[in-house]
Amino acid sequence: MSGEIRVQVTGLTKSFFDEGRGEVYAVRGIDFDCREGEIFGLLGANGAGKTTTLRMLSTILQPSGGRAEVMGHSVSTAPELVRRSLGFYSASTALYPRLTARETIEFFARINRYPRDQVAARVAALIERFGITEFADARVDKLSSGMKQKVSLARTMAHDPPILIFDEPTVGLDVLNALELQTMIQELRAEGKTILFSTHIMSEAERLCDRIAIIHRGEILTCDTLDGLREATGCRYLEDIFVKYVRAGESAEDAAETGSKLDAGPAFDAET
Amino acid sequence: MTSGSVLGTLFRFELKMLLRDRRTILVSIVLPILVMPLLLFSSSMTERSREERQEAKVFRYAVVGAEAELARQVIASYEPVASEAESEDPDLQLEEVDSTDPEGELEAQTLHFFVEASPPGVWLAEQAEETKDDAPVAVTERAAEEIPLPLLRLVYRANWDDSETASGEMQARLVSARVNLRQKALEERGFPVAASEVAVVEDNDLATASQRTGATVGRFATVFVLLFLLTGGSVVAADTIAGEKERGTLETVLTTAASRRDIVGAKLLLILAVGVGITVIQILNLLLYVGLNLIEVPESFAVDLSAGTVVLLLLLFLPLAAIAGSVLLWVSGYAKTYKEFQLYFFPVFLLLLAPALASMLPAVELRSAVVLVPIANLSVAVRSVLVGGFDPLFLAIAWLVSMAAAVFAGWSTLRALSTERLITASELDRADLEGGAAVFPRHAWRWFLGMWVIMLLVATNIESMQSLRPQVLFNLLGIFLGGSMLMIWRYRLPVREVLALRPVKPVIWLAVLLGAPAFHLALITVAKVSSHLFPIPKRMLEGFGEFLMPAEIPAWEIFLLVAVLPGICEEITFRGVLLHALRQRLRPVALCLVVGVIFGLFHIDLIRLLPTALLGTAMAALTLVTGSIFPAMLWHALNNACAIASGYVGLPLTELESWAYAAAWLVFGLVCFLLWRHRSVYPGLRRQRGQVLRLNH
Repeated sequence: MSGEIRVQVTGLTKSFFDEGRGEVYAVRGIDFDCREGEIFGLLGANGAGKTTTLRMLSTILQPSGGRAEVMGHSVSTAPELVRRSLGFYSASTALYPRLTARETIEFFARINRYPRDQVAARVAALIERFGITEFADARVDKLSSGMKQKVSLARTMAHDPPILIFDEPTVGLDVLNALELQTMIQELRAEGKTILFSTHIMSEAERLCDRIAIIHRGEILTCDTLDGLREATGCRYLEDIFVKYVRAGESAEDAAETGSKLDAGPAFDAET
Repeated sequence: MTSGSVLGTLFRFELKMLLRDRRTILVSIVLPILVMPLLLFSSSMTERSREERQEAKVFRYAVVGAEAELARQVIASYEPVASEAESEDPDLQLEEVDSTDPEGELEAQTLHFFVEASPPGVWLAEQAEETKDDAPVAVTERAAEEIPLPLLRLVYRANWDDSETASGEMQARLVSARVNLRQKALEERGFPVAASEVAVVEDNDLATASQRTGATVGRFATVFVLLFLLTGGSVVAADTIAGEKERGTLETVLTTAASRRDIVGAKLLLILAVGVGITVIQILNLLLYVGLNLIEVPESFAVDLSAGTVVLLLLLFLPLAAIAGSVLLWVSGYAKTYKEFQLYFFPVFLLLLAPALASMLPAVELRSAVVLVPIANLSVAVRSVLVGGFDPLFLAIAWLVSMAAAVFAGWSTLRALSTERLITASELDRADLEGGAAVFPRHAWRWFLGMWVIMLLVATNIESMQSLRPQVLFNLLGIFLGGSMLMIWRYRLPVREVLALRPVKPVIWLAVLLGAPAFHLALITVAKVSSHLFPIPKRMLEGFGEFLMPAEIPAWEIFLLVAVLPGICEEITFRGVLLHALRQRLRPVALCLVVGVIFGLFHIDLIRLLPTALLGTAMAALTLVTGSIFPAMLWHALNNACAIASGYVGLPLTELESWAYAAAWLVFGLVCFLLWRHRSVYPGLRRQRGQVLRLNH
């Protein structure tokens, strides 16, 4: 894989304290990296640790262990520099309903410290790019969900960050809007942006991701290109690949929990 | 872009969004502005129409009884007097009618009231019957002969507005008539001067009208300003973080390059701007109504504030506004939703308003412990400034203390925005689902608050609880032991673990035996130092000593009530249940301090707060270091026993030579070292770095 490494994650861990259960690990020592012009997918079931990982990378959450660097800045020691280098988009991140589309983009450009004298030009360019000229001065709460999605994407890119994080971006979108969003993500890759993409939808990962990390119970079970995964498992479809890794991971974990001395070795038989 | 301009951008956009929110504008600005004049106008209209209605109306009454004719004479002797016109309304029309069944007619509302007239002897006889004294009867007979005036009893119904008005008017007229008759009788008997001229009392107030007004306004000024700040700021505060969490915009803004500090700062500025803006509007509103005579002010009302005083008042209101804004923001940061904010707002509102009432207490001066209580100190300071005699040093201390409280509240909000539980509010909270022991740490606060409130109510309202025996038994066995057992039962808590019932090494017992008396003396030195700052009247200390060691209770029982039982029951509650509940919520040092302060507060006595809080903190530390509750039980009992024993043997421990206290500190230090060397740490304490994020984001 060519291109500079923009995101480097080593042994990243996140544990929460739960009064009932004590220490709960949401992410357990994961490693991966993402490069320029790459779409890197985190594929996992609900509760696998995808959102926690992305929240750590966007500095909303503080890692309990390990390291993560974004554009060479540590998420632990230079969170503001990290946030300046990335745009975060998720189905749960909403827009301010009482701002117009134009004001929204301007607001996010400014608080992300985009050069003040270039803000107006950047806002105009994004409005043009996302085709929202017609409703640029309408309040966000008056917009349809498709329009809101475009405004949301524009505000994510308001400060032209080199890295974009998409946390399950198509949740709640209809097919056409989801496809449109996927097209936009592909365009952003073509521009050299690094994209971290989490999803539990296999077709989406298949269509978009250059590399896929399968994450389950806070651990990355494997990380490779789609072809590499197919080769390793002998399965054609990502859904089968995913199930195979997850089942193998669960049996290895169960074996470890029951104190089995069996060699954890290859988690599954590659020929099956 | 600098941090300042990010904060400016955040503030500007927040303000823009707020001004576009019609609901907020309506609720927080338009309604308060309109409601007050509407209320005043409707109240004055209602009053005027009521007066007109009453003047047009004829109120019927009857005169009954043996002395009815005399009563009529008294009523007829009434003449409106200009000076007494305040309480009377000569325009009110009262008309006597005949009645055979006045009570029935009053019930049927065909009669507004009736006058029952009987000879004065009847009343005097009733009095004599009540006092079981024969003397008034003798007076009665003589008086009845010489003063043939009737006893007039007004019978009316207070649940019928017209009846109350009419009988009130008749009563006022009868009082005037009595004054006239009394004067006439005195003149007839040759009394040389008018009755009102006997021993005339005059007063001469040296305070200026402005100072008098200041004393009145000063009582309420802080309360009103705080009220406006809180009600004005609350609508914005609810929306600004709790509302953002609910809408999902908080996470959006937290992923931007804006620092947490800028985000909190901008939101705080917004709350302050709106709160202060609304306060100014309300005050102008109030002044306008006074100018339009919609609000009546006394004639002597005179406001004469110099520019310096105005600046001083504004300076004092600055930390008040900062505290109000920061606390509102903190509540908003703590609440996960708008609705949750509203739930927390009312108790917080009362908690903030309560100390502001300090200025209404006449005995509270700024040069006292109140200077250390945020808000209360400002309220007393504002009063002292308005009255015109303030203490600059204590004014400065009050300002600094309240400002520090505001900064602390702001810092807590910053923490709230960095606490994962609050950011990721939507995630499943397992403790709530599991209930039982898992949820107890969260519920412990309300249990202890409930216990404290019960103790306070009982201690301040029940007379029989003021003596040692019932008070100790109720508090220790009822509240502490009973409450603890109830919590253990209700949440199915593991008894051995919760109460830290673990054996300890023999060396620990030796350390406790040495440490308890030494610590007692060390506490006395702390109390001596603190008494220089906050002097406690000797009479109070003696009173407390008499309360603890009443002469009628034998010594063994006093040791049992004051040393043994507290050692067991209080330790079970505070170093057992409370410490266990908070052990994973707070880090060890904070845990000891919080347990100690709560223990101090439970003694419901300001003069005992510091020593008991210190004892509580030390006992919590002892339990954490030994991992067991037993050393704390013995230490606590020995500490209390020292105080009693010194009383019995006549050795005043507060008057020892300095070397004795120095030796006590030395022994205490050695004991601490010994305990640390042989420590067996309390299990399951919170780690040094828990789930709270760094604050420099």
